Amino acid sequence: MQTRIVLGIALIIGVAGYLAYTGFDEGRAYYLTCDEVAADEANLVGDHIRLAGTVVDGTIQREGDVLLFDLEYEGTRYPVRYVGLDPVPDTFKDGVDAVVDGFLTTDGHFEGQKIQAKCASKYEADYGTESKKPAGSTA
Amino acid sequence: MSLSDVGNFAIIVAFAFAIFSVVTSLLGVQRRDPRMMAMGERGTVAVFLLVTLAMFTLWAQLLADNFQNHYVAGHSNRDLSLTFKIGTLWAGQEGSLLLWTWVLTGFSAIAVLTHRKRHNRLLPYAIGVLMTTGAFFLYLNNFRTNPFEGLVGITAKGAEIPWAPQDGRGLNPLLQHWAMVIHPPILYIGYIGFVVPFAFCLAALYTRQLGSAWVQMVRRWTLVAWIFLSCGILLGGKWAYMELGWGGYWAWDPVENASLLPWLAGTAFLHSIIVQEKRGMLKVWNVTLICLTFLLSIFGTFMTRSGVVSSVHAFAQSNVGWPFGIFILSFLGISTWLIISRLPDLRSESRLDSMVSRESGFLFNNLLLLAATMTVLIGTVFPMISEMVTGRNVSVGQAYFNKVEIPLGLALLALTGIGPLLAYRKTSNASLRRNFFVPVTGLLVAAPILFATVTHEFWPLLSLTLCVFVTLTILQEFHKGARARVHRHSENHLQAIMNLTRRNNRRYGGYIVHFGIVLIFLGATGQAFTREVKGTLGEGDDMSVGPYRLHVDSMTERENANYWAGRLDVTVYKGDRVVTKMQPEKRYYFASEQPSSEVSIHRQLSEDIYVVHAGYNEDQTKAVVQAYVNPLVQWVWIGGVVLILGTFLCLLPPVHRRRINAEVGS
Repeated sequence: MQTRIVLGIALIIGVAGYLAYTGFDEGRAYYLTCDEVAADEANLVGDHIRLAGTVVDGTIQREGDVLLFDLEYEGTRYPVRYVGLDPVPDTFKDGVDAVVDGFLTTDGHFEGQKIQAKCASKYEADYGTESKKPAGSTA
Repeated sequence: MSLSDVGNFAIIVAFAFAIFSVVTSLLGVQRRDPRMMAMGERGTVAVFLLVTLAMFTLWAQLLADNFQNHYVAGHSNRDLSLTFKIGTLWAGQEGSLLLWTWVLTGFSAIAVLTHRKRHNRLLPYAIGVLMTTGAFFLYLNNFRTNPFEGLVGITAKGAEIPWAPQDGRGLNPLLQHWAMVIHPPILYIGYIGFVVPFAFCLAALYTRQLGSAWVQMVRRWTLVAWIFLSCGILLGGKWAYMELGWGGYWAWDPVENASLLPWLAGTAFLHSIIVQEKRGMLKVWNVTLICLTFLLSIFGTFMTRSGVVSSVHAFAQSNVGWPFGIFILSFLGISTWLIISRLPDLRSESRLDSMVSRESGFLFNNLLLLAATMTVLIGTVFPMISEMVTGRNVSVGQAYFNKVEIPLGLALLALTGIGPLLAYRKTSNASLRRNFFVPVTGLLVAAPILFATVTHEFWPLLSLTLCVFVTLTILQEFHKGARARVHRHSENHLQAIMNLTRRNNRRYGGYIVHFGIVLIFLGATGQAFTREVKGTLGEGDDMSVGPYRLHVDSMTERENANYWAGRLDVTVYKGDRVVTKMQPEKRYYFASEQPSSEVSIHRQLSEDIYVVHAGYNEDQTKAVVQAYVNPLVQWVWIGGVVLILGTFLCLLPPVHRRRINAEVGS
């Protein structure tokens, strides 16, 4: 009796652990800022990356269904092509902090599939202390 | 004296009273001094009244457009409607945490007033826990995130004087939605409701009174918290669906996970206490689960409030990060120590007789829920941990959650059907055959039909098949019970079902909750069949999505004091038939300088048509339109309503006691 229970418990833990392990491999994404990506470009091609930076003023352009813009962090700029199907969040505009999910291509730009701009529950219009730094900055 | 002074006075005195209540309560019970214990009780009520005063003060400032208060200036503006001004109280950090304190102290006061007579021996310790938590949050309200801080200007001579801007910054347009006005308070009531069961659990552990008494008294509290938490999670999903405009309602976002975690642990607790009541078993599970639920509630608040979600650096910069961390670790330490030192008192009164029994069903239900809790927790905190350990932030993404939680969720769904059919102690082979014949036959018939007509994909197919199976088990249970009554009491079938449900409200209420879960699974399965199309459309242009054709009749503009809106008039055709007319909008809010998309949704039980005005093309002549067909989504919300009604049924007082009283009375 006891052994069967223990076997059942072990089975659940084993399966959950296995699923978590394989799921982790599939879903893994590196959260990196523009300068970090620029410093390690060669090794990152093909990895799932969440690129963080600030949208450079005046760089947002639309080319048919594709959205082009530059992300910048601590002086390093990165050109982004957003090819995702989801609409760009309402908070996305010049000068906001954004995180773009996607991949680095061999020709040196970043292909985005998902954009997150400063999210709603963290929206704080603190008077006069608005920070333009992306999340993840080491101030 | 300004209103801000009133607010500040209220929260500082409340802070003092909270500490006073902890001290008098705990000292009183040590010295067996009823007067001191009574002081602790009154102090708890006083804290609530003072925090209520602070809440109304902040509301008064919001309604009066008192922009000298930095919170009001930062989150409200003159043209905001009354409803949203009221809701602005919880739109930002400082106000949200004040609301937290208000709900917490309110629950504490209710707990004191309802349990003052009975359960006297646990109450002083419970007050100790409740008011320690209260004092912690009041510390944050006073010294870390004070909502009553004033804005100051500097005069030419360098002196500081109170200063108020002409207008406030306005409320984030994304939050200008009815669901966002009621979502935070409901979610908070859910989170915080678990503090009362937790407090009584620690009291029971400390005093070693670990029978079923504490479990019976916290059951109702837990159910109330659970209703609100469920409702809060569903409203959050509903809001995301209607307001965020990406076509879905759940994305395994850390903020969403933060609310799901205590829900999973709390659900396990609600099931597992049944076994303690009936058989005196699973006691260690129960104390562990409620401690876990409470700590996860606080952890959820911590994650969303400290900014640690996006990065550990944000945590270091946040002014509530460290206090929260210390608070959680202290209570984690205290709970762990109490549980370990009380292990001998937590021994089971009976042992597990068989693998095929209701008890083992509950045990595996606990395990699966706990496995889901742990895997969601790991996935959610992984970015922080990896950043702390390796300096590199690695997140696991939706792929991880879907891969892990879909199988675990479906295993739980299966158990929802299987568990209630098993008998306590041991299930005989004859009863297994009798109980499982209809549902299993249904499952075997449904699977090939669904395979042929609906989908060949494994997970959606399994999910739909299990929905059929569980629904049949529930119907069978109602039918069986009703048939017995029809014979015994000569009632008709409908009467029998009503009386049955009312007389065994906990059991049959539970079945209704289970049916709600089935419907939610049905709705969630629909996501596997979502269709999505994007296009740039001008007046007179067409676009197809699924079986529908969208035709843009006109593009118009309108403006009011709050925002400017660009609007599309879209007619939806299926073949030549007009299905509906839809009006998605792109709005631009003046006060906050924010754009916002007003999604247009045509709701149908089979599938929603969901159209977003996502912006304009380069020369502003055409609109970017995003359209989705989302099958079965409505069933998620319908399931939610069923689930909540079922839980209300579980909360009703038992009927037989009243009847006996009436008979004795006559």
